[in-house]
Amino acid sequence: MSRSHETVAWLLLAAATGCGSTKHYADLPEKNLQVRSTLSGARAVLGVHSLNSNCATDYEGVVSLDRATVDVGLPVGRQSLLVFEFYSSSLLTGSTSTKHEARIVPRRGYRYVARVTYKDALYDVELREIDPRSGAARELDTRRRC
Amino acid sequence: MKAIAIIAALLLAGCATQQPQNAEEFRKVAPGAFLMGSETLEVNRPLRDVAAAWQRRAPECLNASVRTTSQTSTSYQVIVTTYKSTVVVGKDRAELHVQREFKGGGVITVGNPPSGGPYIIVADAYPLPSNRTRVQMIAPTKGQDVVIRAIKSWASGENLGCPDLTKQ
Repeated sequence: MSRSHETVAWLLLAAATGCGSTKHYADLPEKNLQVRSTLSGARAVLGVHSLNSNCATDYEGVVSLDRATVDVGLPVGRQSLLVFEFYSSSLLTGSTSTKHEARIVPRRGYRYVARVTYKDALYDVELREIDPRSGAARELDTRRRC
Repeated sequence: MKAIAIIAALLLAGCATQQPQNAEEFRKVAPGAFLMGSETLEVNRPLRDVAAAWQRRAPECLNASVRTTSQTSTSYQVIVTTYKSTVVVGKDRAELHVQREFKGGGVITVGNPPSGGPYIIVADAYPLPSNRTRVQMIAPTKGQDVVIRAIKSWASGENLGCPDLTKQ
């Protein structure tokens, strides 16, 4: 993606999040989420929000998924809302974005892998939890309850 | 492309004395309408797998809204396009219906659309011998390529991704 497209994407992101400027996610030293992206025809970012018991969200910042693998530290034991947002631009459709929300409550000691794909205008986000003892992975139900 | 689809929807809506109010009426009216077509394909999966894929993916991917903004030096327009999907699974047939509704400045509702908006796609899956399935789809010939591709991919199991509805 060209620099101008990248600028448009970040401006769109800033507008979508209601902020005048893009706020980068502060991140945590212990990386418990690995985002593995395979993107063709779109650029993606990950917005991190806290989600309280009243279903109110608080925007904490954005992580650019500009590499095939990006490690992120999420708070353990707290409900977070991950918003994967795909940006693309073409002469026909102009600049567009589409997003996928995933709710997660990371457990202590567990690792999480998000597989993010965008190809031929089809996108998918799959979030798995990996048991530290057995190494077994299970797909998470990431639907937002409210 | 979107303009063509809108025109097709308007023609379908306007030319019929009564807009299809359900999937069965859409099956009867749509194939002969301007810019509408029907397509049949066979997939190497049993009906239950096709039905399961539609049941899993359609609510997640096709119950969604797209907000489109366009701005010139003299105007600013926002249109919200809302998609609604319905999956009906029976013993001998699985159905996937897609409706679409436009709302916003400058949008004129023609005729008497059903709740959820006019039907734009109806896909039916029927069992075939040897664990195969035939999928019959009635859809616009232009403007819904990504949704159509997603429905086919879910049926075949090739790709379970959601369609980027901003690409319509």
